Amino acid sequence: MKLEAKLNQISQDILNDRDKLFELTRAFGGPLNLIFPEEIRNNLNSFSQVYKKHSLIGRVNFAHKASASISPLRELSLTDGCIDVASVNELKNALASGFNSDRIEATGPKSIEFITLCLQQGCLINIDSFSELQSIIDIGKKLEKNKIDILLRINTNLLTNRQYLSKDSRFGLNDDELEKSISLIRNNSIINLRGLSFHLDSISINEKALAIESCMDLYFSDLLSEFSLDIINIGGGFRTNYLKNREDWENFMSRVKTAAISQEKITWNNSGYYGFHHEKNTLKGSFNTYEYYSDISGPNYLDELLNHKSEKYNCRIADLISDNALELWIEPGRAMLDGLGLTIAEVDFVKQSANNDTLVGLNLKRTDISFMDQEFLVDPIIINKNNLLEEINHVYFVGNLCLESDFIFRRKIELKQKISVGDLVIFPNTAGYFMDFSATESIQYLRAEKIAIRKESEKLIWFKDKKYQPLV
Amino acid sequence: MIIKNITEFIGETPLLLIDPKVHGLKNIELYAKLELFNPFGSLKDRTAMGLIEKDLPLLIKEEKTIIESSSGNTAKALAVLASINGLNFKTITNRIKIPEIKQILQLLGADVKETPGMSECPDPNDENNPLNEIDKLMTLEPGSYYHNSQYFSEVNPQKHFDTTGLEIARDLGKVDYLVASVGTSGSSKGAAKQLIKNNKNLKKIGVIAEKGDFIPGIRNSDELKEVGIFDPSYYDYLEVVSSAESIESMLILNRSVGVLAGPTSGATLFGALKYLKEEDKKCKTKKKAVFIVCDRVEWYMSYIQKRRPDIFNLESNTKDFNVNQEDANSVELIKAVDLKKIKDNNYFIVDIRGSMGFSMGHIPGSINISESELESMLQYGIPFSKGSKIIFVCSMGEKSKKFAAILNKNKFIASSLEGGIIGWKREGLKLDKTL
Repeated sequence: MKLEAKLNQISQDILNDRDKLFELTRAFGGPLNLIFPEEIRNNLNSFSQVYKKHSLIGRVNFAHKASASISPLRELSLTDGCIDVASVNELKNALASGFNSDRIEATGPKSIEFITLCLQQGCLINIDSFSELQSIIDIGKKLEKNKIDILLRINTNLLTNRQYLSKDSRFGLNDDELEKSISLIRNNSIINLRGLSFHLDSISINEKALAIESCMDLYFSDLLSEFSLDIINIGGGFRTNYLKNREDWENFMSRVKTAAISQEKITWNNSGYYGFHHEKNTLKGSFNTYEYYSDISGPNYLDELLNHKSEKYNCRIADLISDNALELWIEPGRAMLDGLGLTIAEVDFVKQSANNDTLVGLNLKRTDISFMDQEFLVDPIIINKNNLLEEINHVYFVGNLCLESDFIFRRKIELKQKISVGDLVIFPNTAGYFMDFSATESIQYLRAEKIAIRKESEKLIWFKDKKYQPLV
Repeated sequence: MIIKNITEFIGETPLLLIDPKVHGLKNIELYAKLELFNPFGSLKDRTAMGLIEKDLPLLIKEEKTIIESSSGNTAKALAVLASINGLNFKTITNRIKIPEIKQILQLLGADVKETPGMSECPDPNDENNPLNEIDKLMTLEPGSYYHNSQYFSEVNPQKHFDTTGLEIARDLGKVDYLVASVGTSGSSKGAAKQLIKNNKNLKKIGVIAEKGDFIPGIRNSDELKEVGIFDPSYYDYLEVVSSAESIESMLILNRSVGVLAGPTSGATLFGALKYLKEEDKKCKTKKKAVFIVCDRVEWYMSYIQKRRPDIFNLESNTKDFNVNQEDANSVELIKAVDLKKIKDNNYFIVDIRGSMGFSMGHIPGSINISESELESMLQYGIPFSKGSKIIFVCSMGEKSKKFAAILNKNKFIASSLEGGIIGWKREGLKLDKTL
């Protein structure tokens, strides 16, 4: 069940520099997160190229929520990229990293503290509910604001349910809240409605295109006809590919499905088949983890979506947006962090279980490397401390918590080299969501340190993430 | 021939002996079972009939809605059968990839629902699967639906045992090879079970799709794991075919044999010949092979266009309006504030955006000729009189430069609005609406 990582140049460079890896791990201890902040420029540039290709203008708002690292923000602040913040501290990070308020969009559930700082700074607010709009008007009046830019976020269930068995969403306005919000805006001249917004939690291009179409229906509707809207925000979710070969992913999925039918043990203590099960030798259920391989991801996904033909309006999605003189706003998180970092752990022990399975103990825990308990389905890379000894080995990686369930991976990993105490186990491409979103300080373990790495005249130089200086 | 009910026309399809010049087999006679002649267009007419015929009187009496998970021919046939009997049909699927198929289902009055795509952050408690959704619906509204699943019901292969297989056995007697594409495995399994009665050495070849590729009506080995009636050990060989190979062989059927079959049948022919070419070398006596031509090509135009744009030659007769960057950059740019001041009646302000965008907001006094309309007009001439001055407008001020450059080359006086409609809006200038 090989799942070999796709690696960018800087990841390969650091993996080839074993002295540097051991030096940094010795200095800061494991687990250790390495960040490559300059890579965010490449990712932004790839998205910008897609805008250019389709003659679209608008904003790429990097969704800060996908990473707690500071260095990529500092790097991004020097470009024409923008930022999407979802909490008061994310907003503070953005401001402290050099973003002007006109490059900051506030999204998600919002506290009064968050709303107040947004209004004081003059950031555009993406409204999630009628009651949030009321709070904004209320606080805005107290702050004597005369113009507050907003988008209204629409519940995606309303945008796709005529064709799909869409689930309800906790985000956005339903029909009733939308109507109430519009009449509130009509009666409050301080609110400047700039457009509509949605984020569809689906990787299907057809479904996203339908959501854009339905959103456009609203722009053309009587309800909004009196407003001069200039933005459509289609959220994020552009997919990220983590694997080098499509074949690895297909073989993995076949193996999981076959095992679900035969009940072959592929996870520790037979703890499930990633959402599949069987009934009378027929496969049932559906895959419940992120699809780590994708042919079309990030900017290419956006390109495909913009090329999609709208049946209703008989034109490409890109033309639907540009003909209506709208700016296209997007909120990619994971896709902007593709190739931006990796996580290093050290081997603390190697032991055998009662069934003689080999367990390799690492100095990190499952939550340090998994997003909302989803298994990271990309194989780690082993750097031996001493000489490399070839030896085929099937091991389980276990974490440092006193919990039976603290397995880094529930699946067994095939190693081609001997593994011993002090070796480094490296998890590639973890910057988006994996390295810090779910990390905790359980049983007094500290969170992983973060080190930003940049290449300067063929040498890799490092900074503490929070002290990163892009211009020095 | 007079028939009283269209369903009488299901089955009894001809077997076409394929000219050896087409396939080059020396010892094997190759026959095509032409299922595309079924009244609703495919082999699945038999399957659909099989699934409901026994219970049909009861369904009519109880006004049940027929429900199935299908994105293609089974849905189409069930939709017709439901509708001619005054019943509703609903399909829940995650496999609709061809717009024409969905359109025909809508034309027939079917209720088509798709399950949403995978989440970027999947919820482990959410089983997102069409069959699961059907189960849910049937539990929530007991008595409203009729579901005899083509993936699980033994009626599916039985129907092909009773009809498809029987017809082949009657027409040919002993058959040595049966090649069929595998979607549910109903037709291949059913027909083979019948043909084995005449020849217990019958070789059964299933054609399946490459993983990660898509051929309508055919599943790959992983997808077949979800099909209850599928049993891989029943086949002597499973031939894996790609969509490119399918279309290539489909063209042979269309152009050399005169059978207007679709890509699924192309895949079957490709798989058949790949397997039989090896067998042909080993044959000592004459043998007979049958492959199943399951449906027609017309449903799949967009599928074929996407994979083989070369066939359709869409661009060849149109004039090339590529304008070099230099010409586009030398176009005179009009600033929004200046355009607002122009009162000269000799000016045409031409907005080249789509009509919807124009209706939503345009510069007062402008007219709308969309980019594609303007391009097709320019094929035959220039829709402005000599001496008139034209200002082109688009959303951003880029495409408008291109058209201005084309006209300038033809000695017109054309310019472009700098920054387009977006620039106009940014200056705080008003737009008119016609909605």
